[in-house]
Amino acid sequence: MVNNLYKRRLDDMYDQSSLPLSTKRKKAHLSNSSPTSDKGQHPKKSFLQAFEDQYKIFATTPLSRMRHGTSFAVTGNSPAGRPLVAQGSSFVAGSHYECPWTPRTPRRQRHYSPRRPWNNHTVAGISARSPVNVLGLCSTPEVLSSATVSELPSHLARSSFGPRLYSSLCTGRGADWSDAGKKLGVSKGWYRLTTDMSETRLNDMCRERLVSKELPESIVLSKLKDENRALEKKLHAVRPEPRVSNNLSSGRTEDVEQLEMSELDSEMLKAYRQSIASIQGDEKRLADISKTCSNLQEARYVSPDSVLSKAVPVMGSDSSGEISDVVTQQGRNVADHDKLASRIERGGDSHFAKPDDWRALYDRTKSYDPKLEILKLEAEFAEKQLAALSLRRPTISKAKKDVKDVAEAFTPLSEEAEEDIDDALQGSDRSKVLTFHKKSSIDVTRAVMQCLLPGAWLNDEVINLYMELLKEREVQEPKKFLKCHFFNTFFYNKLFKDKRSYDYKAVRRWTTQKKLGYSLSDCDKILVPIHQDIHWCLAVINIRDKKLEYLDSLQGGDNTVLKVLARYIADEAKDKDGKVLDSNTWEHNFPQDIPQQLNGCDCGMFMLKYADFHSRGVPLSFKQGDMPYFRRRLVWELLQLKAT
Amino acid sequence: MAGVEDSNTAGSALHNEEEKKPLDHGAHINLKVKGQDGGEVFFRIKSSATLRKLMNAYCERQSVDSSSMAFLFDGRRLRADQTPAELDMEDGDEIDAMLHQTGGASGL
Repeated sequence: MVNNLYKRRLDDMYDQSSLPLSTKRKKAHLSNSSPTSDKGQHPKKSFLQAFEDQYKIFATTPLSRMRHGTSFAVTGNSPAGRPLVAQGSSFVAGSHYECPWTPRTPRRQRHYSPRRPWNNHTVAGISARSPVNVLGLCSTPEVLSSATVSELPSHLARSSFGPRLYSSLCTGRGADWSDAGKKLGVSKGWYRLTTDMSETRLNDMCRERLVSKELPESIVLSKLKDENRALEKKLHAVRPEPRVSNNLSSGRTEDVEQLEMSELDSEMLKAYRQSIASIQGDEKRLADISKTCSNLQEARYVSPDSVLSKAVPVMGSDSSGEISDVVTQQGRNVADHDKLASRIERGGDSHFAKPDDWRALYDRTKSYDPKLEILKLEAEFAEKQLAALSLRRPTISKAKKDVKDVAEAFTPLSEEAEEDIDDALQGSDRSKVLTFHKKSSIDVTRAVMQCLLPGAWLNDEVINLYMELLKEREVQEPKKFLKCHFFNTFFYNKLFKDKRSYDYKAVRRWTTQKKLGYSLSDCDKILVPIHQDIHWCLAVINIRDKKLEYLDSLQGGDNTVLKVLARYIADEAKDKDGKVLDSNTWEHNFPQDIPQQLNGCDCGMFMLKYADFHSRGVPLSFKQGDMPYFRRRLVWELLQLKAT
Repeated sequence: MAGVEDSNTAGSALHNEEEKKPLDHGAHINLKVKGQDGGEVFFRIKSSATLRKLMNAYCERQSVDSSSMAFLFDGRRLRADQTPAELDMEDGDEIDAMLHQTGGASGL
């Protein structure tokens, strides 16, 4: 029933729109046969294909009120440019239809349309069963490329579907979105979230993004930069006057003052000359007025005071016999200005007899100071915010740290330590358990420990225990060491070597979230000891830099190992996180410039130190000559059950 | 009271035992020990018993010294004094038996 309804709408839509022949054929296919009987070609797939080919999908919105399963609304435009809505419980028949209402219709809005920020977009809905189908998502390009981009997340964060939408913004697809992507700091192309992404996973992803830091830093940064630039402009605009005030307030010495004064003088002189000119004009008129006034006075024999008090403030109107207060005021002003001007004109020798004159100016300029202060503070605040943000960015400028870390890898052993080491290696009871690591259930007897005597071959117990200790070290000081996962020596055997065939299932349960507390794909590096029958090597899956390395202290190379591990990490990401890793395209490296062993026994030690230095994130800066020390240090570290 | 019982074909014998002692008591579980050569040996063990017997039985069967063998469960080393119960082992779980490794150089 429902399906029929959708199908009808689908048909309507196809009729209206200008679909190419191929999709029309699909349409015919769909309408001729019922979805349930159509097993050969998945109707959902063909629909999605057609939909994707023809429509611009801008955003998805979960339609929580839909009755049938998981539903999404997708904003989009039909080819005809009409608003589009697709909806439905399952895409059995690819149900969708063009939006029959304007997105502003309030009653409908409650159910389907995204909330206010999206009102002016067209809406399309798409639904899918879990796992979710998301077609590619976004607001319209115009919206994204406009200034609202930076404000989007806050709108979205408030709405129930925000997180999902927001993630969509960062993971859309198509050329139209590349600009928007740049704006959001997503340099990579937009990609489509497809069926293998479960809804919960999607939600988690979005939540991580939003809850942890609300906005991507790039947005905040660009916003801040804009603000700062605006501030600077403002500062610039205000600067000319405050500059004077600053200098005035700070220029206490005679020289500076004089300099300022002469500077001021030239400016003021101009101003005063102008005012003098106007004043002179006024004076003339005043003289005329007073002349007529006196004439009148004489004529009428009236006391001048009474006339003055009754005066009307009209300048230059010599017809009237009344003279205003303003006149007297003007007179005084004129006198003042005159005095000032003459003083200025006399030049620098006796500039400003009284300090009051420049002080007035000084006070006036000083009135700008508070504003300047505020601006300064604002600028400082913005700069600090910027600095804080840039600190939070994972810029690894570790030159200094490197030196310190490398030094730590070579700290001399204390005398007590030396004694303990001697005892551990040379004691008599070979079956005595010297050290026991409870968490990994590894105990090391003296017989085993003696593999660390000079010239002896290292065994797996020592290596596995040290790997455990390296992990513990990293957990204790996560800031100092890279996030690594250390596999034991049996891992590669189980994964590939024993069977000579790839067997993910054999190690699938080794790395569950429950066991590790983290996921492998979140690590910077994954270190895998490789046992080549009588030789130890280290393989590094460098997730951060997307490459695989094979470190062999005898310059060997085994491409199979890296191929197997590339496949493993892709399978692992898919199995544990539902992520797709393109690890088969990662670079394979067999570095030859790494420290090399010059004998037939130290490869195990070299391998452990490759791991140690990789975990520190420092260059492999050791050599064959360090091996006797490293062997003794390793004994000490195993005895202490603590890698340093 | 058979603490450990092994058979190469975990077939009917085990099935019979299962019927005798229903699993809901959680008393016994079946474990599979997988060698590096791909060979599998099945054991039936009390979940509260230590794994020592199982390990010794396996080593004896394979004619190797028990000190040269490491047992892993999901990548974690097993100790002889641990019990399936404390390791949260379930019926049908797989234990890997690995020979210890050593190495110093290749081709020298």
